[in-house]
Order: sequence, then structure tokens, then C-alpha cells
Amino acid sequence: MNITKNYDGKELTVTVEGRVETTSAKELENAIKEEIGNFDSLILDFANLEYISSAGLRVMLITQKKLKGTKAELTIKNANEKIKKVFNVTGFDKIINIE
Amino acid sequence: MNTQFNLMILFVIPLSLLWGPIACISILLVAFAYSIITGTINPYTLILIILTFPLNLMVWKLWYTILNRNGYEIPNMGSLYNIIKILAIVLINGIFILAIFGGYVNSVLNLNVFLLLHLNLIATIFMIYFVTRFKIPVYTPKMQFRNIMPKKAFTIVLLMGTGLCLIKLLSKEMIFPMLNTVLIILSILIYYLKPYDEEVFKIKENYDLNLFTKGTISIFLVLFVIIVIIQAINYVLISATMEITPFEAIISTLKSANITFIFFMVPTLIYLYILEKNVTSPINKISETISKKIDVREDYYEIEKNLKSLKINNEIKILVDSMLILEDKYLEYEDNLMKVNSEKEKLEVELKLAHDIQESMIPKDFESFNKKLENKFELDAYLNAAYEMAGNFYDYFQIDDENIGFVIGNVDEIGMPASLIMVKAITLIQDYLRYYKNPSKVLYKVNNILYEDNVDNNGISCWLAKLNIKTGKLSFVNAGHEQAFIRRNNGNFESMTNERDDKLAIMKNISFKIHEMKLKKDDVIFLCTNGVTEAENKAHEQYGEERLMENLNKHGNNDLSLIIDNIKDDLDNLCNDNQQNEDKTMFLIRINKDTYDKPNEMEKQYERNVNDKVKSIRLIPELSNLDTLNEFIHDTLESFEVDLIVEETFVNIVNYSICEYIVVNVEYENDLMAIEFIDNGKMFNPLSKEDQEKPKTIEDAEIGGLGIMRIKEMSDDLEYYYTNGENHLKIFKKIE
Repeated sequence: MNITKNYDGKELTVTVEGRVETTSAKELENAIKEEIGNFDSLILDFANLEYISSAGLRVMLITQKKLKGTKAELTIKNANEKIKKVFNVTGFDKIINIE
Repeated sequence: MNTQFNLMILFVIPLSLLWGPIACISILLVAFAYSIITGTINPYTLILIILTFPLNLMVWKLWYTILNRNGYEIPNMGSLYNIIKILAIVLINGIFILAIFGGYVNSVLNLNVFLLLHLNLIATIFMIYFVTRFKIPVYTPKMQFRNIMPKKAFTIVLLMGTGLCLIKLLSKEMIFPMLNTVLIILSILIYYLKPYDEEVFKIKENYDLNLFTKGTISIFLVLFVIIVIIQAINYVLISATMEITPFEAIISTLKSANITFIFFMVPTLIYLYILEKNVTSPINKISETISKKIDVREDYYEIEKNLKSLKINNEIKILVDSMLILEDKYLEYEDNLMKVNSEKEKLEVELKLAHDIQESMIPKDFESFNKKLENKFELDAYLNAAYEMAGNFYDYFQIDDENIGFVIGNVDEIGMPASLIMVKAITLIQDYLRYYKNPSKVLYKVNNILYEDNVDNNGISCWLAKLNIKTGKLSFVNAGHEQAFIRRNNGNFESMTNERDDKLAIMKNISFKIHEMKLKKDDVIFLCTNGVTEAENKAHEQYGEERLMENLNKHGNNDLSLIIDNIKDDLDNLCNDNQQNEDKTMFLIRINKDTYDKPNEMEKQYERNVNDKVKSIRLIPELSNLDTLNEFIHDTLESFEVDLIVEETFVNIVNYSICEYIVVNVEYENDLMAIEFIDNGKMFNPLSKEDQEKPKTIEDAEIGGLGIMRIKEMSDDLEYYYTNGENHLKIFKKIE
């Protein structure tokens, strides 16, 4: 898994590549956690994400819950069909904004 | 004719009346013999003797053919009507004798005929009395005559004969005296051919006359005899002074007896008439009426009608009225009784059904249970309910492949209420033990439920155990029950532990201590209820644990059923004088095969299943092994969805199963991926878990817990089973 952060003003784009699974989810969680408060808008770019398990989804959920109190928004971009299906199956597509 | 012969004639009529033809022929023969012996035989006596035959037989014939208003009976004096009938017959017979012999025999005889007749009547009454009193059989008609002319014609012949007799007796001068006599004799002979009514042949020899009539006649006869004896003594005394012969004295006595008889007869008959009309007949009618069967109200109305038709107005009337009231009450009572009976019957049937249902709940097919579990152990039990429904219970059942459960218990109650509680307890215990596996936890739960429903504050004692038939590990709990006994190493039975917790259903939220021990080959456990140890005889001598132990030790090596039989017999010996009012239950289990731990067996098992097409990996349950697993899976197939399924399942097992190892078997063929996860952790069936709803808002969404749902949704089929202490979860996924 590769994580790249890119600020455009108050908009943070986190590009996640490779596999987000139980063993690597914690790394992603920490990477996002340390940026909270620094952005108004968080974009997760999943263009090169191959795989995400429920551990990865758990990170999305934790992030979303944390952002609920602030004005910041979470958006997921460029997810492929398989990833979208995972969100779909778990009902996360209703909770998290997916473009 | 001489005196002896005359005296013999005294009994001609009674003998003929009672024994008919037999008597007549006998008389004929005796008369013949007598005439020949005394040398008095001559044409006159011969005619006389022959003529007596039809005349005598006529008496018998008349009894069975005339005046049969009351139906046919043997000659008796049971009613006034019968007495009058006897008088009438003797009178008719007398008329015929007088008419026939009047012209042909000497004047002495002629004078004496009337006297003899009268004496005959007296003799008849005496003889009938004795025949009835001593139940001597009489001769009734046996032979029927052909119907040659109407029955009335015979009566007319008889009347004509009687008429001819009267003409002959009343007229001093007869024109054809010979012809007249012949006609009279002829009329007798013709009348003798009169056919009988068929009823004659069904005569019942009824000697039981009613008491009033019998008593009255007895008194009459006794008085008569006394007076005749007094008269006879009187005449004998006179004969001494008056210089008359004793024969003349006897004749005089008989003459005066005749008069005495008439004196007594008339008032007696009047008395009998009154008695019969007002007492005897009504009573007979009443007894005849009420001896009829009363089934329905209609029968009662019929009886009421019959009784009311009695025209009497005396004490009997009061009796009849009271009887009617009684009958009415009886009917009412019977109606009630029928209602009560049918209700009782219904209850009994229901109770029998309940009994059968309860009986069917207690397992009895030990043999097949033992067999099913490969005779690793054997068990036997006995339950004897004191009443229709039992408050004792025992049960045994298989929990899973490795464990069986057995239980014995007693509800502090007897009969129906106990049986209801018992049914609930036995059901709960079996269900819960299958679910929770832990006897202590089971009793905790069961106790709370029974406590809530306890109406009468009756406790339930219970001894519950789980036995691992592979390892021989026994875990048991004692909730206030009699202690269990165990026999180890073929020694004596001894208490397993005397610790016991409280009974069930008395207090809430109490815990039950679990005891554990390892059973070995030949170990025997004996359980019983207090009905066994506390059984007592009339002297309140209890059976007791000591005597029980003694018996158990004596027969410890026997078959279980024999051990039970011996205790049963011993109990009977002690208590056979006392009614049983406690249920008695015994339960025995014996380990037949040595138990052993065999952890490696399980591994062998799945290895056996692994063939060329199946790849297998064995992992230690740590999350870090996910990468190894993924690599292993990717050797066969790389698929986003398969990866998801594998990861979710693996993480779930690692986090929740508490196992020692995880084995994953993979088989891929014809676009179908089959992944089997095997772990030796706690039993968990993901299929039984309810589907979670997908979260609709961020608040609904819970962190974690979505794994199982994803496995289900993403796979095409799931299989789960638990065996040999391992969870087997097989996931199928079609690959497009």
C-alpha cells in the first residue's frame, strides 16, 4: 500500500494505491488522523486502489464519524467498480460521498 | 267291604290329586290284591274296584283342566282360590261317587260315602300341606290328547254327567238306573280325553307360598288336630262307660271331626279372603311391579300407573305412596349418578392420556441409546410413580458427538401438579444443556425460569451431568438432590461428593458449583431420588443409605438392570406392608470402554480428506498470518471478492474463535472456488447469526461487525458444521 498526500489550499487529496487490508489499515488510519483539522475537504483518490477489506472500510467510517463535528467533508474519487461494489454491499455508499 | 278298606279309601282323593295315574293304578292294584288275600273278591267288589279308577283319576284331571284362573300350578293352598278349587273338585268327585255307587252298594257304605268324602277332603288338605312343606315332587300331566272336539264340548259332557248324577241322587225312582250309571261313567271317560292347555306342561313347582296363607292354614290345621284329638279322647273315655267298640268310637270321632272341620273352615276361609284381598294380593302385585327394571322415565310412569291401579285404602296404600316417592328419588339419584360417572370417566381417560404422554417423555430405550454411542458405556434407569402422574424424572440424551447429558430429579410435590412442573424442568434442562453445554450455567438459567413460575414454592431437586464420552470427563451439578454414588476400580460404592447447592425454583440468581472428575472403565455411578432412600414401612423404618449401599455393593458387578431389580426387591421386602406414596427413581451408568485423549486424531481426519485437487494450509491464528494466507490463496486464484471473503473469515476466526490452529483447504474447479476454514475454537455457526441491516446513516453504522455479513453477501453458498470439536465453514464462490 502506498499513501500520497497532496494539499491544494484547504483541500487534501490522499491517494491510496495497492491493497488496504487488515494488516495495512492501521497505517491508513494514522495517516488520515494526523491531518484532521488541517483541511476543509478530504478527497480519497482510489484510482489505483486494488483491494479494500472491511478493515479499510472501518477507517472510512472512523474518519467520517470524526469529521461529523467539523465542517470538513469526505469524498471518495475514482474508485473502480469492484471497490464501489464493496461500498455498495456494506451500505457505505449511502453514508460516504462517492464520486 | 270291611273297615280297613274303608280307612284306605280315606286317602284315595289326596293321593289321586297329587300323583294322578300313578296313584290310581297303585290303588287299583292294592285293592285287587287286598280283595284276593282277604277272599272278599266277587263280581260286586270287582266292579267297585274297577270303577274307582276313572273316578280317582278324575280328581287329578279336574285340577289341571278346570278353574285355572291363576294359571297352572301344582295342587296347593297358596291362595283362597286354590282352596275353593280343591273343595269344588272334591265336591264334584263326591257327587259322581254318590251317584254311581248309590244304587249298587249296601246302605252302610252309602251312608258312609259322604263321611268318607269329607274325611278325604280333610286328608287332602293335610297332604297338600305336607307336600308343600317338605317339597315332595308331585306328578303333573305329561301326555297330551288329540283334539277330537272343541274344549267346550268336554265341559258340556262334564256338566251333563254332573246333571245325571244329581237327577239320580235327587229322584227316588229312576226309570233306567243302569243306563244312567253307564252314561255317567261314559261322561267321565270322555272328559278324561280333554286336551290340556299347553301351559300345563310348563308348570313350575312352586312350593314357596306366601307366608300369610301358609301361616293361617298351619294354625287352622294345628287347631283342628288338637280339637279332634280332644274329641277322640273324649270318645274313647265315653266308649269305656257307654260300652261301645273302639271302632264305633273312631267313627264317632271322625263324624264329629267333620263338623269341627266345617266350623273351622268357614271362618278361616273368610279370614283368608279378607287377608288376600287387602294384604297378600296387593303386596304380591307391588313386588311384581317394582321388581321390573327401571331404565328410563317411561318405566317409572308404567310402575306408577300399575301401583295406582291398586284399589286399596289401608296401610298398604301408605306403603305404595312412600314407594312411589322412593322410586322418584331413585330415578333422580340415578340421573345424577350417571352424570357424575360420565364426568369421572372422562377425567380418568384424560388422566390416562396425560400419564401416557408423560411416560413417553421419559426415555426407556436404553439399549438403542447405548448402541448408538457404540456401547462405550451403558445406562439403565427405573421410575415408579406412586400416583398416576410422576413428580420424579430422569433423562439422558446426546448433546453432540462427544457429549451426553443425564439428569435425575424430584419435584417436592406429588401427582398432577408435580408432573406439570417436572415436564417443564425436563424440557428446559435438555434444551439448555444442548445449547449452553455447561451444567452449571444450565441450572442457573433453569432455576430462574422455574423460580418465576413457582406458584406453591415447591422446590425441585436435580442432579445434572455432562459426560464426555471420548475423554471420560464428567462435569456435574447437584441442586439439592440426594448425593450420587460411584464405584471405582471394582471397589465399594462411595459418595461422589456430599456438597450440594440449593434446590431449584426457591431463590433467584443462585449459582451452582460444578464438580469435575474423570471416569474410567468399569466405573459405575448410581443415582436415586429420596423416594428410594426414604421409603419406609408401617413402623416408619426407613430404607436408608446404609442399606442401599450394602445392596449396591453386593451386586455391583451385575448387569445394571439386575442391580435395579435387587434394590426393587429389597425395597419391597421392607415396605410391602405400606402403601407407596413417593415416586421412586434410580439411574445407573457404567463406563464400558477406556477413555483416552486423542488430539492427533482430528488432524488425521482432515488430512485424510485432502486429495490432489485440494490444497491445504495450517496457520497459527495471528493477524500477521493474513499475508501468508493471501499468498496461499493467490497461488490458486487472484480475485478481489475471494480475497475479501478470505480476509473477513480469517480475521473473524482470529479475533473471536480462541482456537489453537486454523486450517484452510482450497479447491478450485470449473470456475467454482471452495474454501474451507477449520478451527478448533469455540463453536460458532455464522449461518445462524441474523443478518444485520445495512446502516442508513453514519450514526447507525457501527465500527466492526460487518465482516460476517460481507462473507454471506459475497459468497454463493455457505456450509457449516461442527464435529470433533472443530468448526468447519465451507465457502463457495463462483468465479466469472
